Amino acid sequence: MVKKILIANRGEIAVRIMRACREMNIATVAVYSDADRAALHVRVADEAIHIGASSPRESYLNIEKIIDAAKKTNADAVHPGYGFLAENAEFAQAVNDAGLVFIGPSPFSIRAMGDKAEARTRMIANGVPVVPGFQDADDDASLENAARKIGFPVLIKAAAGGGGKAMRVVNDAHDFLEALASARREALNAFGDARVILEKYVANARHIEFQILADKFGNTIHLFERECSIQRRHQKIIEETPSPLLDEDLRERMGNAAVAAARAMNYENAGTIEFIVDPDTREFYFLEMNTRLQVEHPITELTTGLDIVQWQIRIANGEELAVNSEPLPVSGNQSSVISLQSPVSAHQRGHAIECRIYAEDPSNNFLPSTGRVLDLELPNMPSVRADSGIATGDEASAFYDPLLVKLIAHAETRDAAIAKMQNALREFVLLGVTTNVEFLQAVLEHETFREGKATTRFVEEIGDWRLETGDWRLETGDWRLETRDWRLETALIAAAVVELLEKKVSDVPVSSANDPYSPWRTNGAFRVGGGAASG
Amino acid sequence: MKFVYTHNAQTLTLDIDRAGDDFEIEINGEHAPVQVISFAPPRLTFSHNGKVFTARVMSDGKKRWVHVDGATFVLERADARTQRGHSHGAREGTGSGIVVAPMPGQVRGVLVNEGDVVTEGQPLVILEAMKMELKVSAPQDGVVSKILVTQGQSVEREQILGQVESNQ
Repeated sequence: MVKKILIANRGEIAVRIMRACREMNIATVAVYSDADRAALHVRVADEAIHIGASSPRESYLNIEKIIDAAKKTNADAVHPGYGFLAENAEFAQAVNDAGLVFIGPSPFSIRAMGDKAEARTRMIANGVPVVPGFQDADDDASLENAARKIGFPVLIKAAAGGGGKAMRVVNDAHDFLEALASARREALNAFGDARVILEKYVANARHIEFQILADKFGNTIHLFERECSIQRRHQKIIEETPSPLLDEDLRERMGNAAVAAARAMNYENAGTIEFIVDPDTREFYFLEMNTRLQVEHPITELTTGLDIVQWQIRIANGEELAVNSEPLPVSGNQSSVISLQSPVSAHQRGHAIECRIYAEDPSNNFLPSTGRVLDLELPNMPSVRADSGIATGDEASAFYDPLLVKLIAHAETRDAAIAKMQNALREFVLLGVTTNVEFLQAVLEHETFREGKATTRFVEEIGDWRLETGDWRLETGDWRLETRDWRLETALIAAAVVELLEKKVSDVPVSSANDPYSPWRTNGAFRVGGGAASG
Repeated sequence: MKFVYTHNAQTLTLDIDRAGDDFEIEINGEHAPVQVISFAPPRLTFSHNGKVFTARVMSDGKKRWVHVDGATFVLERADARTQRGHSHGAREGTGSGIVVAPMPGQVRGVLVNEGDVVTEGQPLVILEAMKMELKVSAPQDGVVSKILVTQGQSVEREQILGQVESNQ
């Protein structure tokens, strides 16, 4: 049995895994880089080991240092989280070779499915539909040739990639080689592997994925779908389950395909099969399998009531999947029960939405923003979950992923879940780093999203940049909250009042100090800086 | 006492006088009383025109981050503009050929040398932040007259990276 887990990650996911460990009475070891020496995941862990410089290649991607840290602390298992080394078969192998448990699939599965080129080949062999593409060679000339054959627009993807990193849409043959070089550089930096594959870029697609859980006894189930069509720069920003697109028939066919794909690999532990779906033809195509925990796993947790991270650990411990408990009472038609001719079944209740709060500036082309978090308040309301990798005082560093906080809302219906999320975003406070919170609000307000019709092109289609003022506008009007004006006035008053309240006596001009009406002469009830900041 | 802030491209002016916890404000010629109810930094609760408001306010140099009911504002003390060129001014300074960093991050590559002839849109510098790569391109045809950064260096948003002087 696993008693101590090293978490080979940082940020919100490291914290989330540590929480699961605590609830299972398992000790935790954090690893950290120079930039993260006082980061939240270090503070939450029972022990923490420094593994190198701030650049990921020198720390969170350094297999040797992470294995050393695990040995030094007598950890008996390693959880890779997502990103970094989570889909690196060499790492999983190194963990196993060191006599430790890797909480995830086998190195074989990671290599086969994590490699986009091989995964495509295997899916084709197993009769799972794939997007037209090219994965048979990696030299520039072959790729360029293949791109012309597939026809532009073409999508360049890192073969070892995931999470939207190192992806390029190329609309024109002239731009191909330059985009290829750029994608390779980004892939090398993010994954340590510069190989790429090509796919026909399917415009107006829906991105829908299925969560898989598989134990060591051949029980393979899916925990329903997640709709992840709201993306910018190929990175998801809002996810929900159930998908507003799927009916029971399509859900069943896609779910069966997902389970069959995982079974064909003898897949073990948690994984996700990603599909794109053409909303007009309702055809679905295998996109890739993520052989790891997914960022958006909480929406599945809230609707199924299962703790996926705890199940990852239990499966690694050799437990059998036994989630065939009696279904909870259900309401409405949003609920369904899945039974896959195995002793295991799961059910889903209600609707959940996740919003990813990124350190980025929507009015600056969603480019990253950095800085110190001066103030953070997480919403506190029924059925809202906040997974945060930062706390007040922490730094949003340019070295790592811009994801700061995930908010997840659960309600009986989709409309109720949207309303709850809007409320949660309204109560969310983060000062010091520019975030996408108001953009998320704008998306939740948008008619296309509310109708459940948004495709992966939604973000680029809904607006145009007004660079002269730095504002972002939706076609339906100002993206900012409708009644922002009174808020701006209130903010202005508050800023000025605080300037005066925080002014040191020494800053007050002499003339003012002699003023018989000056507040500085009186010793009123008010005390500057009195009272602690409260949550 | 007068406070001048900029918010996006907008200039906001407010006059404020204090007597204990009572303040008198003037915005656009309209006077109104403001009474501080509590200040537990960063939370300020006050009444204004008979209604109670809560805001969270944090200072960051000349910036004032203020959160009011779901909206976050960054107000910049107007006197900050003398420190570093106003951000929008720097971005719009295309005629000058000044090249600024559109985001904070590390310089991953400098693709040109001083003296190189470049065309508008030609990539000059590659920046990376949060695992994302961004090309910074020449704002106009001309000659690279200055390169102020080297590979591996960290830059702030709006930091000047170099200059492309027009041939004409």
